Amino acid sequence: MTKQELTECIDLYGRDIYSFCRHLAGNVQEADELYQDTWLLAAQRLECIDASGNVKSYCLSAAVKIWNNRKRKFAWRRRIAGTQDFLDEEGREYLPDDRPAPEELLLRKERDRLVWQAVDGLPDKFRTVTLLHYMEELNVSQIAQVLHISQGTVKSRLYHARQLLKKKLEVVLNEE
Amino acid sequence: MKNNLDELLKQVLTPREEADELLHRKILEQVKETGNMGRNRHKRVLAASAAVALVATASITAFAALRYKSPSQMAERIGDEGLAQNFAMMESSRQENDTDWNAAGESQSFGGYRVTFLGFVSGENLSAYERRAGGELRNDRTYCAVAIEKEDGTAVNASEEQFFVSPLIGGLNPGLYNAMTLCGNYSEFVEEGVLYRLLECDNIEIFADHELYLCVTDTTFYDNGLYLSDEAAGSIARNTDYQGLNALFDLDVDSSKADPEKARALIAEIDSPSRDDGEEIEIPEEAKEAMAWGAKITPENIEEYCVRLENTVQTAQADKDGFITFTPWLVNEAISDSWGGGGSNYRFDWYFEDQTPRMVIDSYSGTSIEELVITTYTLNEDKSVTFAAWVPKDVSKALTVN
Repeated sequence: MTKQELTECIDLYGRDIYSFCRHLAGNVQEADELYQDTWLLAAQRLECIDASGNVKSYCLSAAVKIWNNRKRKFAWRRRIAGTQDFLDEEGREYLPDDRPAPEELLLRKERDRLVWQAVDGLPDKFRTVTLLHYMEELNVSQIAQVLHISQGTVKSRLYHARQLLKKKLEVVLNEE
Repeated sequence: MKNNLDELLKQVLTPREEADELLHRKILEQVKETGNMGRNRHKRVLAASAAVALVATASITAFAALRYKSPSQMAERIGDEGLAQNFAMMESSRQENDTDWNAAGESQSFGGYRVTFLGFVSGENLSAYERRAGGELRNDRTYCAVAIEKEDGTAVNASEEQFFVSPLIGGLNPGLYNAMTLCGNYSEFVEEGVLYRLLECDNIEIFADHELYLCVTDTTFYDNGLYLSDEAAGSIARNTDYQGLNALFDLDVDSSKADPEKARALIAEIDSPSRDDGEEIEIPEEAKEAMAWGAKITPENIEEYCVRLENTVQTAQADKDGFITFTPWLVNEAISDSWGGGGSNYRFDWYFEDQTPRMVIDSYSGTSIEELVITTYTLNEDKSVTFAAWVPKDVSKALTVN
């Protein structure tokens, strides 16, 4: 892959990778560092990346590795991510094309907040596979490749993640 | 349930966040420069309030040789204007009042490396960036600047060569109390073959009534074998038997800056088991029971203890790339493959590299034995593979098969 191709990928996949970093790291500051390190690592390993292959998966995998390494290295221990931050940020609101009535928008916003709170509160292992599957739309096989774990492990983690989310989101799921 | 969990998650977890435009541009510039400038990990988000409150207790005690960048230049290079200003202020003050800044800094050579301690500064809000750990602001920090170069004159390869830089506190176990546990972080870059590292961690001046040191090693983490700690005497020394890099500099801090109360609180925080809780996954007892039960299931005994759910059984052949794909399957709310999106997909040789016909246990999962589901793949004589989901026999009746 060339530098030019990589810069095109940054434009193309920037949002996907950044959103992933944002929820893997849990806050903007760590996410920015992780996002930057991910692309710089890719830049240092251009010769290893096949531009015609799955660059996005490569970068997601790099982000996970960097994040895990950073956690080990500095023993940063995060608590469950503060959800207030998320609410205060722009762009988090759910705004479909056919804009709903204000009260419906409020309900959706609250629903989204609860979902993010539940996802961000998942243990790291479960949160990572959840983000890769539901946010990045990777299937079990792709997640296994990104995380270098077996498909069975991916399934097991997704299963547990879903069980935990189901419990946490019981109220949301039972809404009409 | 009225809402489907998968649909809800896919809908809400849509990637919407984007990096700040400034960060975006900076990354593009750095990517273009890659290969010319070496690794340079430095961007952090500006604190909401960029105002930097210089605290009078900031201090700087070591000198850099003319050939090296000064700490303020390092801070500037990594994009931390606030820290650069504070380092520069200290450098300037030192030049006026005492010794020329460009006087040689202390250097030590071990294991083929020459390390020069360029200086350190401590205080509150010295950086233009805020540092958080565990969700809390930690802006009372110490910043240490070192230059590491190879004695043979070749360039340091920051991607392949690992270094650990950390303050150490005499009288405290250095394996437990070092940059890692003091919420450390660092930025570094290579210029003209010299690696410049700027380490930051919690302010160590609160330990000024102890002997304070700065260690620099060629390891990734702190290694107990590299230094000799005499906790009773309150001193730390190099282990001279070590053949690699284990430099040790004295950190000269005015003992009046010691704050035993804060020091005790920080030690208690580091010692607190809750610091590690974030890594632990709390597994309910019934889930542990289920996992223990599932672990005992083997291809040989699965028929004795489990029931195969016939409507999950699928047989498929590997495609030309060696991938076998099974369609999503659903038995009921508790047993499904809804996490797989397009069903399961895996490489034939993951499980059957030797191509010997047999059954393998793919996974077992469930938060209780009642919800336990075991999946298997069986390689048949004709090289096709059969997938099946199983549930424990004694609870199978409780699970209504659709």
